[in-house]
Amino acid sequence: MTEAKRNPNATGVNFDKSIRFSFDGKTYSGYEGDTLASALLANNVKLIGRSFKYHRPRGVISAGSEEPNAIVELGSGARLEPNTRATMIDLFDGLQASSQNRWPSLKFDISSVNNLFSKFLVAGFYYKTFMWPAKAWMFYESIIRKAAGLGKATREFDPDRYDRVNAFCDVLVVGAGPAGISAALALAEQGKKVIIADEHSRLGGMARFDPEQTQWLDEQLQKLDQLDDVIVMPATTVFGAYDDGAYGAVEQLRNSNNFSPRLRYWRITAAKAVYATGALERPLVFGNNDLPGVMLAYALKAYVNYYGVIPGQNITIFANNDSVYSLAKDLDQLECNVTIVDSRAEHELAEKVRQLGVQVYCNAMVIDARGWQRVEKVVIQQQGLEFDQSCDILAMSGGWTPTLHLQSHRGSKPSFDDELVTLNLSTLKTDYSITIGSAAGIWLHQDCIRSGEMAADDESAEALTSNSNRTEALWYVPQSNYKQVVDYQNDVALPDIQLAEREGFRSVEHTKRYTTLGMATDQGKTANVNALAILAEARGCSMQEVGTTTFRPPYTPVAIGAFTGRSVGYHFTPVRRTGIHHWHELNGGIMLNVGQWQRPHYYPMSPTETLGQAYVREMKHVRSKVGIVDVSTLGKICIQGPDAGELVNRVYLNRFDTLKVGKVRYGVMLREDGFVYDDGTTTRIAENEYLMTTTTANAASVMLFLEYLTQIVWPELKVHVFSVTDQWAGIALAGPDSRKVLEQVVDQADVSNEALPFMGYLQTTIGGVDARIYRISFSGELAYEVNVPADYGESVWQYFLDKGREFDLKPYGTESMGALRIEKGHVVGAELDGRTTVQDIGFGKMLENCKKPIFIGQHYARREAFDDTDRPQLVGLVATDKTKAFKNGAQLLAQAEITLTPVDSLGHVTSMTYSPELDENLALAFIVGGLERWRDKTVYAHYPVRDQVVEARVVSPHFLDPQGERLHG
Amino acid sequence: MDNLQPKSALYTDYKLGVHGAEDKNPILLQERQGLNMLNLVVFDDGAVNTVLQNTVNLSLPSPSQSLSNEQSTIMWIGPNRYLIVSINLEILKTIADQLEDQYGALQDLSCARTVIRIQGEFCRQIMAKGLNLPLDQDSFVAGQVVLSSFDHHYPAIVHNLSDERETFDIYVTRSFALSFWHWLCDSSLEYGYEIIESELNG
Repeated sequence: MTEAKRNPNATGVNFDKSIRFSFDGKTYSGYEGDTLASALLANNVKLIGRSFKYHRPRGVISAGSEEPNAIVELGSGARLEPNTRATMIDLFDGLQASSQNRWPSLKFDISSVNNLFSKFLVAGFYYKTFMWPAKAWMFYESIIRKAAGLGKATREFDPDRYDRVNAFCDVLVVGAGPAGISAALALAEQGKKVIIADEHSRLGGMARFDPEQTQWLDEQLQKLDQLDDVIVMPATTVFGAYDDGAYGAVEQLRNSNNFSPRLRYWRITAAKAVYATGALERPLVFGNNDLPGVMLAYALKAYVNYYGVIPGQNITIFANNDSVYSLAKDLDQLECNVTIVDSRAEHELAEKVRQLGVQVYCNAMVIDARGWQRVEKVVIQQQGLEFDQSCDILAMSGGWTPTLHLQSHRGSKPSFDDELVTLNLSTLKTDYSITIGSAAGIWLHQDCIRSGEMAADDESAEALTSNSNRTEALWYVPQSNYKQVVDYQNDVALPDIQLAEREGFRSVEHTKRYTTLGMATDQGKTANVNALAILAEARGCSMQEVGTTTFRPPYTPVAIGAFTGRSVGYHFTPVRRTGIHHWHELNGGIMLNVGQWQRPHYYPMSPTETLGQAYVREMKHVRSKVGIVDVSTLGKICIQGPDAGELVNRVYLNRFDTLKVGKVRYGVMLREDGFVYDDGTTTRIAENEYLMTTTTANAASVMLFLEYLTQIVWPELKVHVFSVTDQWAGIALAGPDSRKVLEQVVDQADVSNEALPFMGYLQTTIGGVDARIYRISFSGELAYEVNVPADYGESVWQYFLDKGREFDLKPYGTESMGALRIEKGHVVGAELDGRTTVQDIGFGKMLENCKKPIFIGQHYARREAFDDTDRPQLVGLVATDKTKAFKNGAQLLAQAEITLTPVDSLGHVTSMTYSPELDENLALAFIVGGLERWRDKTVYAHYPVRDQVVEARVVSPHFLDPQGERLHG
Repeated sequence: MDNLQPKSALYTDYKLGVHGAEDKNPILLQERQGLNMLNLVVFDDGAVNTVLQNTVNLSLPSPSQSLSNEQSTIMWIGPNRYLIVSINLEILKTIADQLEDQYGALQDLSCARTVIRIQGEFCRQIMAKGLNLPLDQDSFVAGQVVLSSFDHHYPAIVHNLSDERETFDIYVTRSFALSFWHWLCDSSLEYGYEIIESELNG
């Protein structure tokens, strides 16, 4: 295949540096500065893809991000990236690209047979045809999906790195064309911090493609480069505008080292945005307007002048506006044979170009393009006469549409401007943004620059908006006999839109969804305005009445990896570790996620020991000897100040101001609605200092609640709350021999029952380390909780194990810890689920006896309904059959059978375990009427998900040592 | 009596040396250990200022600011809330002895936070990956303190020590410290970083 002629004066490529790349397995060469699209055109490759539905041959249509046709897969294996736009891929050495949505090859695609039946495969075809039988739709769908579609994503793990970064500026300028650059420069002169971002890797916008603007552009870019307060972000697409001045942008990075990200997601916060997002050229809707070789006129200008590719010698330009005439001059100078087909009446510009030797047909239209997999000729109609014209490139321009996506994200609705013959904003300036340049319907280079300067002064450039690029509406060519594509990417043609309207899909939003117009990766950037006009004609109304669909972020596709950043794999979520974490890992502890914390679940003795075996073994050990467990994750809140006692008193249901220094008390905390919020122990460390413990799960919320109370509800209290959870490592020692172990580790203190009784507190040292010892018990055994500064957690833990070896001290995990407390009947989050009252958990007396003037929940906790004896109350369950275990969440019924007639649930199981001490399967549960009504009666715990029923006897929830002899021992 | 030793939250993963991309001037990462960190809440500005002048020879800084001398730094970390960081091991006792309960509350949180010093040309770029705050040289200047969370997860206090040498101390909650350390190292890879010997009481 011969290479296309190249323009040696091109400004965008370096002809001294050749680059090798491949497309569909064949190796080609391009130059530094080429895009994949320009390099393929330079190698005379015009067929680049197949269309979505009919598998029609497609080539490059644009030179920008709106490209709907030249969609390729990039890379291979794990780095395979589907649906990338060849027009936006900067060529690099070794680039691998391949076409997609074709089989067995791009040239001979079996599915192109669809095109022969395209008259039948109209909008809604699938809905109408594959309705029967309804059950078969899933089968049909799989076949339809195989026949149509875009590229396929890799199933391998993505090896690339992605990043997220935050940035701030006074003004974000989106788009670095003449308007954007001049705005950035003027803003910088005013001392503003500016970020200017452009989706292309080189700045300049359309000015890059115009040889007359080259010098101006170079000068401005040099100025930008010298400004410290302007951050220039090329290859960065601002894809979304959000509330409070937040903008999402994604930067394409060429890996400078193995650790560089491929994409960087920027969250930019800007006080103001200047939208210099330019305009998109519209295609014209005529027969076979999607043949390879048919492209937008500006794109041809870009390829010829900037990328130096002259993709054809015989070039026809079909247009309804002035913008193409400079292209004709450029092509003429490159000795191309140029013909202009202008739908408008004769005008001065046409005459001027004729004088250069360019053939211009006014009052004329291209009806059809013809050719096999590339355009070979066009059929022109002028004043009723039709004639053929040979050509190898057909450039088209149906006018220009301002790019208004970002403005729309923040709620601006574009409307149709009859004078400009395009969509435009009714107001260019809002409190947080200003729209300039061709995005504001300003077409002339100097006017665009001026609009940028005005933006710096916060002046709207509405006066510069005009039809200076004289455009006359031409929404489609009615005389054509071939397929007139409106939406290239979705294969939506003129008749599809007309049919949708006839079938009642008159709203533009319905038309979009019925025909798929404006969907997929290009979101109808080239299609929407033509489609709106066609729909308006079909409905017999104005375009204003038709309205527009809603632009939503992202403006162009953004890889999910960019949003994810480094939060994948190991970094998916942070882990909270206790000061003893590493010991658990080193010693075979199986870790369990508890919120963000990781806690040792159990410590298997051998690789074959199961969780069930391990926790029973650990429980037996604690009940018979002594065990140690890491309880660092429990919330610890220090309450300090002259009013500390008053605050604790108000927060808990029971009294704390009477608690003596050096003593611990169990407390129940209510919510303002009277339900139980949390429970735990609180210790009076000093006269004006308390240490409150919370459950692991509620540590943060209780802390926030206390902050709320001290800052908002009772600011007059002279008290402060500190979270000290991270300060202290917590070690619980439980079992009949726990005191013996404690005696071994404390440096000097007396820890006898007399000196440190149940609910006592002691400050001492262990191995020279400051330690706080609380005589409290979660397991029901003789137990202590020891707090040491977190940095010493691991050393002290090991110290305990070393000193406790003679008593066979062993660690136990959270599974056995939880099981031990069930035996004892202690409640945790499973029971305190936000629906339980103090009466429900058996602490009704605490409320009855409470005479405090102020405490949280004081009014609602005494609601009559809370005393209703039909409320579910805490009980214990023992399985009648010892081999049958309960399931958490099982529903309690009075009958074993499940009948078709609904019956009321009596309650539910909240916690369950096997008790090695009692050799029974136990559960805590809530049942209506509680123990008083159900003691020793039989109920059935139904777990229909597993089709399981466990017969059970209702007993007290305190299965073990109800008198508390062990913990007081 | 035995004398047990403390262990940093980072000790398992504190690998000295150069990591990531090659750079002549890599980012320097260093843990500062053995610091005394006290949270101070003020009920009476005047009385507390007097105590601080008498004990650490510093006064309360204004919002978002810090004041330092050779031994100690006081950082503003919220309305009426301050963080005192000192290499003086007696600092808690010294202040507590003079501070009456009615004037303020003082809590030793020396083990509740891990302190990581980050130094080098690309510090701000690396921190910008996690902090949604303006960190440019005009917005975040030497002596300033910000409270935020890195990557929406890691609660942290960042203290700008020097613009000239681009040096920052990050105080991160201890239980999150190792995860944050991994995040920080991973974020620094593209610029290259060196982990240097941790500084005891430094």
